[in-house]
Amino acid sequence: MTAVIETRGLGKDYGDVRALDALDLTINRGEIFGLLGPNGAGKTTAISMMCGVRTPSRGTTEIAGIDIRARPHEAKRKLGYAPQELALYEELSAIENLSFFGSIYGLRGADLGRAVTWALEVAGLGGRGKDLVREYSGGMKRRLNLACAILHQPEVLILDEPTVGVDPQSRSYLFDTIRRLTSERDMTVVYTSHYMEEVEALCRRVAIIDHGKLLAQDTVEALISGHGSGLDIDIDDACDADAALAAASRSGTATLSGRRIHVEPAGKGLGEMITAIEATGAHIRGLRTLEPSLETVFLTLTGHSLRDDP
Amino acid sequence: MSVLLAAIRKEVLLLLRDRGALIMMFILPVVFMAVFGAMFSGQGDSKQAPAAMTAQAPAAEAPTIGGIPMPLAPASPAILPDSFQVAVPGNAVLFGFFLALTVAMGFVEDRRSGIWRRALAAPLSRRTLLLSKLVPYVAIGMVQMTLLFGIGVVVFGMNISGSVFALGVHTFAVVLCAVCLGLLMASFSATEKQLGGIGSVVLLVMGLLGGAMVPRMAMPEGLKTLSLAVPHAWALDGYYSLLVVDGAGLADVASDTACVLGFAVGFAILGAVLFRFERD
Repeated sequence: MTAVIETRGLGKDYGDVRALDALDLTINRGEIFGLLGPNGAGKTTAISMMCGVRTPSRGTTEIAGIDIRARPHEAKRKLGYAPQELALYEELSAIENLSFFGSIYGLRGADLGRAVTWALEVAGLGGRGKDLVREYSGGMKRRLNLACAILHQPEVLILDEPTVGVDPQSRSYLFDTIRRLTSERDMTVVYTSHYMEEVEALCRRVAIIDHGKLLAQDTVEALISGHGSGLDIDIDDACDADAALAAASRSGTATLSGRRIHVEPAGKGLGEMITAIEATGAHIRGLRTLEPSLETVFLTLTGHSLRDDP
Repeated sequence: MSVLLAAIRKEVLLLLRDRGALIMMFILPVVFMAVFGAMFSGQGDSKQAPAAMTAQAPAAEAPTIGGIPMPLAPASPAILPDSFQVAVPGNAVLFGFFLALTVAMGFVEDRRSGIWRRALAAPLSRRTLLLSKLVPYVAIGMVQMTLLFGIGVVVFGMNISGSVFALGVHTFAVVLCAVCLGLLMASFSATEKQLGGIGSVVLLVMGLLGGAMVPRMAMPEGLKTLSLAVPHAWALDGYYSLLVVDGAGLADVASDTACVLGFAVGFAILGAVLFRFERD
């Protein structure tokens, strides 16, 4: 496999805040790679630096072997980027938007016209190209947002939360489009989301980051088999939660979130663990075995606490 | 170059579909010109400025425009200023500088909507990105000012006594200054709401201080000196000379044009240093 994106020790600080520590990623040609993390985990910061939108505080990114800081224009020609926001001019038509964004990638004349027609068809907007974007539905805008990123037929397509606010039909269409772009055009896709089922359906490999640190990077199957099973134990409000957590820790890796203890792997010495927890004076109000899934992996690695960061 | 042409096309299309901006750029200034022109011509002599404008005027031997002494005017008291030679440039400068607000709004909207983020991922330098926003508005501003002065001549009968070429060069400096001020305003504003509130007041105060509504020669000495702190004053001094003085050319308004350009360069440098394409 050929690596198309390689980050080495990529990090970003905002003043004293370390938004991203040292990210080492290797993404291979033609794959759909998922980048997962809760709100504020550092996903957007990571891809902003991978695209050359932000300057890293440390580390490097290579796109098809080209260091994006050393030769930014060359590297950026190989990149297509659809931001999380709908980065479109609402008062322009789809064709006018595409023509403008195509021109900033150096397309002009007949080449630009062909690229616009192709991108509109890929996005399923062939018949609505002359309509103003403000008249579009959320799903149509998302598809156009994607179309603007693929006009110049990049080798690498970076999609930041591309399905926020879209209907199931548009989501399904976007998935099919992304799969087609990888299979027919050999594009490499980096897909960030916190919709686990999307990532599980689309991506073969994923990386999970939180608090600016890379927590795991592997195939979906390997992550699920390694971290995917678990047990949630709800304890009463009055008990000593730390003592209950210590008791649960004897049977596996246990984390506390509010009044819920998450233990993995599930099932190992279950009876003994319950006895040990109850011996601390805790009353177990509920117990749930979690089905192995990417979501379980995600919650196991990133915890259950709420993230209210933007 | 093709990026700049595409940017001009895009900004013109956006402007043509923004009724509010069109009214602000083309309709309101003409209405103001008509009203101010009528007000000025209604004071005594039909071609004289109002008494308020002459109240502070120095010695009678100094040539005047609408009662305003003009340092560059030839020493001939026979020059009769046209009231629209006060109203047209005054309102053209006032509303011309409001272009800064449109420019700043464009910068801030593009930041909010993620368009800068998308553009920063493209193979363009940050300087080209800035120019792709500024150059279209210089072109738009030139069209606006040409139309406003054209209406001044054709509809209101305003006379241009000096060089039309010099008028064009001076206008280019004024438009450039307004556009660069827009960049600076954008660098201080996080949201469109902030800009809409504070920006329009700032521009109005600058216009008032610079003599766009009440000619600065009618102002008290202290205020007259203070008004030189805003580019509007230099812009208007240049316009008055070019409109009134027979044969006035570039050399006659060089200091005014240079000062306006100086403001433009200052705004551009500060704006380029302070502007952030993205909020951290």
